[in-house]
Amino acid sequence: MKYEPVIGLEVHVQLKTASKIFCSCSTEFGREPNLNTCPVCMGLPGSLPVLNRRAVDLAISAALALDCRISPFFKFDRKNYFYPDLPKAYQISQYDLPLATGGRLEISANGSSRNIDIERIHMEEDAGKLVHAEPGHGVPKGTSFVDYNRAGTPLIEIVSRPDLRSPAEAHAYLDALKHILRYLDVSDCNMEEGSLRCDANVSIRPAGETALGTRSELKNLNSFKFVEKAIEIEIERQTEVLESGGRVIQETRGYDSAKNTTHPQRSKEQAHDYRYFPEPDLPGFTVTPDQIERFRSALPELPAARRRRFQTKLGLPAYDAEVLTAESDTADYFEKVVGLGADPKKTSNFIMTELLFNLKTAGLPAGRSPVTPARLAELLKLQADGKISGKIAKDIFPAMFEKGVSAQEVLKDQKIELIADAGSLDEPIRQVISENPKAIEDLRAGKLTVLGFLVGQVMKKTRGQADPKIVPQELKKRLGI
Amino acid sequence: MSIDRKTVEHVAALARLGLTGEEKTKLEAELSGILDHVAQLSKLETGKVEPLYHILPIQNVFREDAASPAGVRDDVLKHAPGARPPFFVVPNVLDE
Amino acid sequence: MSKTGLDLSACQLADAIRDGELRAADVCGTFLEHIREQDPKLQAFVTVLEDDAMRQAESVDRDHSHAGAALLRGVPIALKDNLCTRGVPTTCSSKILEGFVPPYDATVVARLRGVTPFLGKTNLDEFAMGSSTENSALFETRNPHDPGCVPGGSSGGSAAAVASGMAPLALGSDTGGSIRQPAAFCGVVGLKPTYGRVSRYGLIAFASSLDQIGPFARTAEDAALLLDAIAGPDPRDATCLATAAPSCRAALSKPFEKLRVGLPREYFQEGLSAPVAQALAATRQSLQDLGCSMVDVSLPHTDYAVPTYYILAPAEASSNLARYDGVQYGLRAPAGNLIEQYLNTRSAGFGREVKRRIMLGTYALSSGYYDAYYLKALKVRRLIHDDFSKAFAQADVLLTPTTPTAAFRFGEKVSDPLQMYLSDIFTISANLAGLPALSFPCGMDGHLPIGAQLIGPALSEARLLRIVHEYQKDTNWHLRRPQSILRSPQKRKRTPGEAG
Repeated sequence: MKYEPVIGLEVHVQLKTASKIFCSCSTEFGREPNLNTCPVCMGLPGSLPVLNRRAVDLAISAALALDCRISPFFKFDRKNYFYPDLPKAYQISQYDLPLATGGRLEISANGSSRNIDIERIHMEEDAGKLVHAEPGHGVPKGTSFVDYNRAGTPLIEIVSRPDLRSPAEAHAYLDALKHILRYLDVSDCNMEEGSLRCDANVSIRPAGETALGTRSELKNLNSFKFVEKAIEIEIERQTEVLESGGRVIQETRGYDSAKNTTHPQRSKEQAHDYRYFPEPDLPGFTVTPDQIERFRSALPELPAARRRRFQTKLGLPAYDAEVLTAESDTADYFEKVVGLGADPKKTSNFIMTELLFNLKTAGLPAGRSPVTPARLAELLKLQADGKISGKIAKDIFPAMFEKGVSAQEVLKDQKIELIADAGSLDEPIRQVISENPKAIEDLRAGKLTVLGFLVGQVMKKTRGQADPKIVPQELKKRLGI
Repeated sequence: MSIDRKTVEHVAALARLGLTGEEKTKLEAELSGILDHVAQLSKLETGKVEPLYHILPIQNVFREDAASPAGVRDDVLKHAPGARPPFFVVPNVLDE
Repeated sequence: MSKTGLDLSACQLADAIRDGELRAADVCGTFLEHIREQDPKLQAFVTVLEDDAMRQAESVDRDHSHAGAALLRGVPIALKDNLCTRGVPTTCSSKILEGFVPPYDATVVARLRGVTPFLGKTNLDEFAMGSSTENSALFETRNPHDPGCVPGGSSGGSAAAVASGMAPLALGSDTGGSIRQPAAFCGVVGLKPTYGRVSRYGLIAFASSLDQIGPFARTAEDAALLLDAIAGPDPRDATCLATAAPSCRAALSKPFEKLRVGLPREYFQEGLSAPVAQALAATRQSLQDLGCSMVDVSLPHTDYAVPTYYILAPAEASSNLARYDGVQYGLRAPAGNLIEQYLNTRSAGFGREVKRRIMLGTYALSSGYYDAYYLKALKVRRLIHDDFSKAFAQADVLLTPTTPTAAFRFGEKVSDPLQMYLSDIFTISANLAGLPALSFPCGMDGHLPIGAQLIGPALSEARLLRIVHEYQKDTNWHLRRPQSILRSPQKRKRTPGEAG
């Protein structure tokens, strides 16, 4: 029998705030354990939460960018369970009246694009981190260390409908989500630092069937690649179970990337019953249509719209538009260069081949490129005006990037002369003609293959500064052929 | 409304309360008695009544996003029942 | 003027200290000495802060730069031991907080620090759950008027401290009557402010939507002074009102308005003891003599207040008390693994009443029961709230008894939780509706005080205090001092097996 996979993703994204969601502790990553803590995020008796306004602003922006409906009234609820990383033994989250519902995200996979529905977006606080300690040095076996630095970090949970149909689509969904959220500067979406985490609900059903099969929830997915692989292996597993006459049971499964297998995870809870109830320490929140409009108009142009504009208005090929809009920084950079008069396609080529390579090597975003958009525009103008060759432009770029200087400075530094006009080739051509009588003779005799050799000689005399397209024309002109 | 032993045990497990047999027996009776009293609420027709989530007429209370250190970590660790500064220490989760 | 100051009101003490007639250190020393004499018999204090209090008082005497800034400067105070005090153990009278030393001050404590020397922390029913202070895991506090009787609860320690003259002022907290009921039993003034008037930051939560901190004092004027010092907006408490609280003490000197006093008929029915009924009738007459008019009003959902409260408060408590799991602070019982640590710690650390309420609240929130219990109670809470709105269309304040009877004897109700819960019948509604309510001494049942309660619309604390201030000019119930406190030398320690 042929089975169809049904996949839904629950993505936790850390909002890019300076302080935690309910207290003034810093959200800085990588601090000394428990340093970013206070009575509130450690759940000390008597402490109370107060909501971070910026966290809500960021969450609303994200929700609008994902086409969600913002709830005119939302509230927080307590989700009660015991675990040592949860200081209050409840998580402040949202249950029945979340921040936003019903949105969609455009994904492109296998060359086509389609919309994936989003069910809801809610805000919540993160838990702390348990470190399973190595025994020894006075640490008894079976001990865990607890670090509450992460406790209280603001998160949004974005829950998709079970609309994804393949592991590749799940990957594409995460890519698209990451693009948008980074575009908005709502989150870093860095899986290694935990600022984006993903659980996947996976089930399969006979192709053509509309009812959902029993799902398993996959956890421990540490990269987009692993999300894809884990779903793949889980679909295989479920298919085998069904084909051997078994039944899929609803459970949480962990992914082991080393073995590329999923395995049942023992439940954290003795009994699962979160006993949600409205958080009495936080009054409710309202958002007016006016406020929503203000948030909407403040949204930057989103990747999909920008991509379309780069294609239709600036005439870029789809591939270029895709690459340039992958990060808002890159797209902004591109637009600045074009705004200074550079040709869009030539700019795009240069950014994709030269700039992005250098940025990647240096680990910098386009916004912090040592070669500013103005300097790249200047470089491209020198080339467009025929004052330097395309080769020179590429050759001097690494120096501009490394030293953070203009094209003119590098040219001066490396004693490369500008090609004023074709007349400046007179002297080197005259010299090459007088130094290579045999080759000239051959050329006159119609042996065109020596032309390349002579052009090379001129290039050598000009130390590469001459435009290799003009040199042959000038040579022939001088020789009268 | 009467509460049986099984319910007492289930609720105690949810609340992470270790109870003796005697405590369970007493709680069965006490909770049943209290819930009998509470049962009179069901006599009230509340179909059209909105639940009262917050007594205050206030909404939209925020703090601004500014980080500042509290500096209480060492003090809390000093009085913690299990610590190996800069960490809190707990026994491992059962069976993990 | 006597050097002791024990007989002076807080206002008189503050004036004398400000005018240099008394030194704050002498006043503080006198109260500490009185505590040393009386507290072994009454056991109102969990912790006495002798050195701390003297240091604070001496610094008040040294530093005159703030003189006049705070009206209560130098007047010592007792704090209920569920208010976090930096560097001082805060126990909630529970074993589970053993070893807990808060690294921060509750907002109310921070506002008083440097102004009113802290005499000590007072006993309470464990986690403020109870009506007699018999649920303290540490010891029982006695009623200064009769050591065989309970002081009420849960703020029994604070009420007893003020009633016995061990402190001129005290703070308590009130979730279902925990300030007003012990105030009535001990013969002092106790005020539960409007929900949101006083910051709850640093008050160890029992039921977050009902808890409120308030003053104990012997006179309405003293209570007004203390309320003024602690009330007002706090950025650390999202449920604290953002509007500045107007001065209650200033309101006391304004001309007395002739008010309409509502008498809710549901509060004057069977169950009320004859002495309480008589004392209320006399109080009503006194208020009429002051020019107030009496109006009959009805609060038809009164009978539902206790069941509503006993769903909502335990439900919130079950969540608020989940954090006591032996991980970061307080008690940790020996265990081989984490689950055992949770079970053993919480089993050893919580007393019987606390466990009972955690069980009740967990049950009410658990899957399948939420709608029938918790959601239902939230709806009835609205009906109770709306009852008051209607009543306040006809009356400016409501007059009721604070409790159906005067103080009961130790052990009388502790074995029957439901009977204990029903003793809060007159006080619970004000918490459910978030309204200010005040208990003041209005008579005696033999040697035991009787309290009357005034309930007002939201933010009408000044009005309630104004009435009692006027009443206290013409009556002397608030001046009655306990006679029996000198006779009961032995400590009454908790014995194992007694309800806790």
